[in-house]
Amino acid sequence: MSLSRDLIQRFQQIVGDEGVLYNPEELLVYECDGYVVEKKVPDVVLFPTCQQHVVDIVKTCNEFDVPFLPRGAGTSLAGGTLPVGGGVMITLTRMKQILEVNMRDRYAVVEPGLVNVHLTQHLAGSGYHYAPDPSSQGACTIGGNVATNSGGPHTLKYGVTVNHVLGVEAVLPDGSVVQLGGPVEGSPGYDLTGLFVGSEGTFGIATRVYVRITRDPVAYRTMLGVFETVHDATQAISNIVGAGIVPAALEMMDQGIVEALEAAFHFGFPLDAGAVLLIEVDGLEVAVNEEAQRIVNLCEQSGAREVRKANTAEERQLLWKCRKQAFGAIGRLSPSYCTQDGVVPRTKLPEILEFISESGKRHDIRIVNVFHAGDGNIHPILLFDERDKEQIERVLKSSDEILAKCLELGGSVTGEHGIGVEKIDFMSKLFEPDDLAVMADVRKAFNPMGRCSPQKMLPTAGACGMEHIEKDHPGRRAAM
Amino acid sequence: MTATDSQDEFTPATVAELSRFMRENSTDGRRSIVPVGGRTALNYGHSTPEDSLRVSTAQLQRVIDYPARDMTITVEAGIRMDELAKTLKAENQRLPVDVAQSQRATLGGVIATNTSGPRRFGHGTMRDYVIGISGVDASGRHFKAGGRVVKNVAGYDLCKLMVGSLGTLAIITQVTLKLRPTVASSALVWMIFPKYASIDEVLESLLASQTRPISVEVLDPKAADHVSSDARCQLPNQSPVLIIGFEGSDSETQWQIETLEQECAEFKPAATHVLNRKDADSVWKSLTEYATWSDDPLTFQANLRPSKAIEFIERATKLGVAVQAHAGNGTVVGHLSDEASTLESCQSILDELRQIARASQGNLVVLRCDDDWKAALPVFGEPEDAWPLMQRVKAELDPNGILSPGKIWKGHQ
Amino acid sequence: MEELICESSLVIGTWSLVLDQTMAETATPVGSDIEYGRFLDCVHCGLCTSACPTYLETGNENDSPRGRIYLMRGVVDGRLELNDTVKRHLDLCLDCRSCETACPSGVQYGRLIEPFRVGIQQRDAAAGHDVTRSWFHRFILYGVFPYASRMRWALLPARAMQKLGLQSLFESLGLYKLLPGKLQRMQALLPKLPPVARPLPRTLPAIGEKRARVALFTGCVADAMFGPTNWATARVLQANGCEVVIPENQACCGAIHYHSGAGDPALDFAKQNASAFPIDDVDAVIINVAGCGSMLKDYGHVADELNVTDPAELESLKKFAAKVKDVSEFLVELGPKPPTGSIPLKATYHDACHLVHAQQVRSQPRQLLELVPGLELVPLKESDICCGAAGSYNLTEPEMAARLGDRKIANIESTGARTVITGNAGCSLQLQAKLKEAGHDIWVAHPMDILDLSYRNEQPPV
Repeated sequence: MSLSRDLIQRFQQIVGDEGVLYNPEELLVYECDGYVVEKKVPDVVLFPTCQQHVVDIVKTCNEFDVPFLPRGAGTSLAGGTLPVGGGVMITLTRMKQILEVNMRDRYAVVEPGLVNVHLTQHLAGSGYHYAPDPSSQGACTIGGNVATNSGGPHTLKYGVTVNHVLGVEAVLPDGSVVQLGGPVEGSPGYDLTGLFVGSEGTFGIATRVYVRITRDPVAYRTMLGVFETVHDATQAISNIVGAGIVPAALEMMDQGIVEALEAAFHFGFPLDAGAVLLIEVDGLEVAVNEEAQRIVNLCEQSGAREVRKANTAEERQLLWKCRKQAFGAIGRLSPSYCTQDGVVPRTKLPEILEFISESGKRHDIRIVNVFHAGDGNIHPILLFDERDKEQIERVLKSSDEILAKCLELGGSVTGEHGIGVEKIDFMSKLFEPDDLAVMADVRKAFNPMGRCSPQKMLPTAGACGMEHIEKDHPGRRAAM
Repeated sequence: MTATDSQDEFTPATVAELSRFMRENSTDGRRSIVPVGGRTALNYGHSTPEDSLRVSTAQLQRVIDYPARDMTITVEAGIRMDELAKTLKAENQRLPVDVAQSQRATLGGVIATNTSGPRRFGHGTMRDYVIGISGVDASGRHFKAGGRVVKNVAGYDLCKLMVGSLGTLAIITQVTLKLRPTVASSALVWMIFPKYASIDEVLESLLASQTRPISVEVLDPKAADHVSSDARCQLPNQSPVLIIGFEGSDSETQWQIETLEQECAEFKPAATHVLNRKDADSVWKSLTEYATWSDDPLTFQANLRPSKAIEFIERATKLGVAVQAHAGNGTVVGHLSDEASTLESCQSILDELRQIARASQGNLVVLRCDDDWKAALPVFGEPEDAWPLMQRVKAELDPNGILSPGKIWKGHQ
Repeated sequence: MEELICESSLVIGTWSLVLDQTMAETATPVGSDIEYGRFLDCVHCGLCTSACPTYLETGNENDSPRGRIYLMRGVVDGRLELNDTVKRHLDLCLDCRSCETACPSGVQYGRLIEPFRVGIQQRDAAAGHDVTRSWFHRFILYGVFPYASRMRWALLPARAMQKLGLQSLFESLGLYKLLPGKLQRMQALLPKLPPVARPLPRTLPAIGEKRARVALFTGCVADAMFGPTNWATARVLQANGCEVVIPENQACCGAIHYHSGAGDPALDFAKQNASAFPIDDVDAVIINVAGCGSMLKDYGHVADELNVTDPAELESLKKFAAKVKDVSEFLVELGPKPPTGSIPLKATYHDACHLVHAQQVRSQPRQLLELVPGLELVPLKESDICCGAAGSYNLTEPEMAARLGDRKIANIESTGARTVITGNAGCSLQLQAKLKEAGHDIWVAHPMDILDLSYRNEQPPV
């Protein structure tokens, strides 16, 4: 697709010269996000600074019949911001104001380009925070979190993004503005806010987000359970959850990851342990010791070699740093990796991890694991060398096999990264034609022409008239 | 079991049967359909056409899968809430959403009406617990969304769309819920204050409290009298009442009660009663049932900013309305007094209160009143910005306006 | 519009593997000699973006670390031509290394941008362009800044004007406007200059039990403008039982040259320093300026990048680099002697990029300052986001430097502190200039200034 000079000029009139990128060399970095398997350069990148800009841009796109999609920080791990078929990329990084913080009514109103952690930093000292804390929270935007319904380690107890979004003001794909929900709970009518969250940019562009702010916990207890085998560790997870304990976080790292972290940070992890669990409970001072002790007991009953406690705030931070840096340390194990985002019922963790290990052996691929164990949200990391084409094929086979197994065990192919373009082929495995047809109908109510984020979420084109986009879809298989 | 059938009602025995029935109806006759569960909320919304056929989920009440150690359950939507609670209790688990008339109410109905009670402050509402849903739409399509795992972002979250949809989009057939463990103890602290202004100060101070309440309720004297006599507890109720609820381990609950009492001392409550065990249970129950108290001409629910709750309650009290506020959430349930016996008098009270709610971006919905009045009342409050979009969603999923037509938007198919 | 995508690339994992591409440039692209694996370290996750000051300001990914790596790699891969647009985004990089702190994959961003910039210079030189770009680079940056004595002379007129109160007269008459733009900015950056400090002697004895022997690096810009801070640093070291030697033949660290792409002069300075310091006879080389410190610590890498082949030379540069310590880093390792004099100030601490990001020295200065009785240290929002100084950046990229400076001043204002403490000369200049511009009477101090006062039981000047 190629945009006319006329259209570029129209955009320049809307957002000014400094708000438009159209030189090929400046568009290149926008050809992918955190998912680099598929690439497509947008035709133009725009930087609106207010809602009216977004309205005018969207209306212009409709007038010229070109597709468009929003982008935040571009940290999607599933190609959520890939401009399939090209078109107009609306980058919201200049709309990042905190418009209001209302302590008494426990909400904040922010623009979509605000970086997640900046809200919590802004609230520091007030006794409140914004609960959803994806590992990328230092960079990802709240608008992006809304699009993918992001999770994070502490969602086990506090819930995911949708549990903390009260309302959204959005520019719909036809350029009209609508407010869904708002600062007040329980507006009459359908919960379109809940529906909008996680719609991956296919329902419109959020220009304002009303979020709930949460009281800070009074006390924490953070523990590191050391296990001989992955099986024992997963059994412990299952026992903790089964005993009706809801920790604030429950994360697992296997030997491969521990080895890499130890090499990178020297935390003093036991290198011969099969797996470690990072467990955190929070709440009232009077309650956390009791709960921590129950967890220690359950870990020991499940065969833990030892359970270490973080005794100081520094030790706690160290443990968390280690967890959050885990992916980065993988560079020490292998030149390339790809991670999956499957979910299984928590009691099936031992089974899926065994399967992952077998799958790795079968395809001769090394796989290490670090994941949100308490949610059953696995992130197997498949290590490979991208220069070895045959190895890449084995990695893809193993990945598909693992995700198929997640489905077989009653789970899902994505817990927090989203469908994007990466998992779109799995949608028809996860859902029946009727399920997808109903979803497509819902999309039609928001996005009847299919110009907004075409080729995302559902394995069908946006709508009539958008078929040309499908042909342009690079596609993972095509890339092979 | 087989389907039971009559002129006015159809009770499918299986989802396949329901699906077939709906498919046939959509091509042949297109009779309007009103889904019913426990029939505790038939009064909600505008009247549906008189010749509507009721489709009951009474026979869809099996537990499909209860992997207790995963803390999820998958059940058919016709299950009674009491029955569900009993099943969960056996595994020391629960769905922490308060439901009135739980011996009759069904899970599907609770979802469709988005029912909640005092614990919504600490535990949220149905939207926070439904992780998977199946339904049959007006054309007989049997669809599902979400799944059986607690974290899942595949596909559109139709679970959220179904919560509060009042049977206008689909008949909910099966639900997967995320569960919570039961707690060792719960307690309520019942405090009376001479003035609403003092309660407002306490509410403000709670934002920095060391405690973590599960519920924050405010009652006017009339509502307090009703709750205390319904619970068969002799509790002071001659002036406004603030009730704070706690849950947790025994020591956690006890510590919070003591801390709260210390924190509230400076606001000088006229009296403080701590309710434990049985007393607490019966008051929780009365607070939950309050919305269904039916000796009044009209019951409404207003939603507004928590900071405006006291202003609203004070005004409502002056207008003779008996009010209960989930004050931490800004949700207020009011029963109009018998003196408001005419449509006109009710209208004028509602108009005034609705204005207060609207001023803080809230609204006011009539939960129950005489059917004859509904035509003249804005049952779902003043139009919201998003209504046209909602109507488009309805039109896409039910283009022929078969499911509960006009229930939410009068005259809109 | 032309699409740039490589149609025939096999794409997977962290990057595309280009199978069949036509190179855009026939000559070897700039950056080709950078070890390609360093580009591959970037998995494109984007976690660096919001750590980057320029991205925070523009929101444009071309102005983010991930974007710049993409641009550089695009050039190396032959997908992009190194034109003015690309150069513009690379020029805007502050080289503050904030991204390295944020990067979970351990990408050595500095090891990409710095050699790439050297590559640009070399290409321009080969093409007959003026390497040093302008009279400004030639004369002021390369001719005056790096030489402590020339700097002292150059500052004489300014010092005299300040003393005579002529500066405000000049300002009010607008006479500075007659100067070229960059000199105007330099003039604006000048702090209230302290009186010329006595030069430091060649050695200073340890006070009390001798615990270490250290060599002090006194720099160039810093020595001329921060003589008192160098004295303070030396006294603090003495008070902690260190014998301090100040080698005479030391030179500029070379950072200004290296960061603006002039490799050869940078290497000459490095060699001079490596031979000026009695490296085997001291426990550490102490530096109190973050920017110089990170350059000195990098001599080994710089030598590798500039293809130093003589093994003895390489060895001596690496040995030198290994001994370099920031003063606060060194004191915390040594175990500081608690100072006793009360300094009743409300202060905040600004993390110099080249301390916190390039050297990962974050907690040490704070730990030392917390030892000072009476000092109230309040947290600064975005304390580790660049203030816009970034070496000579405030002279070469004034617009972005001003935006970042304003951002920093706003954050300082919101703390209510009356003193800002920071461990870098460039930051200090930038903060003083921006505070003056905003009409604030806030003291900008070095951590050693504060500690020195406390050890000597003296009161601060404010």
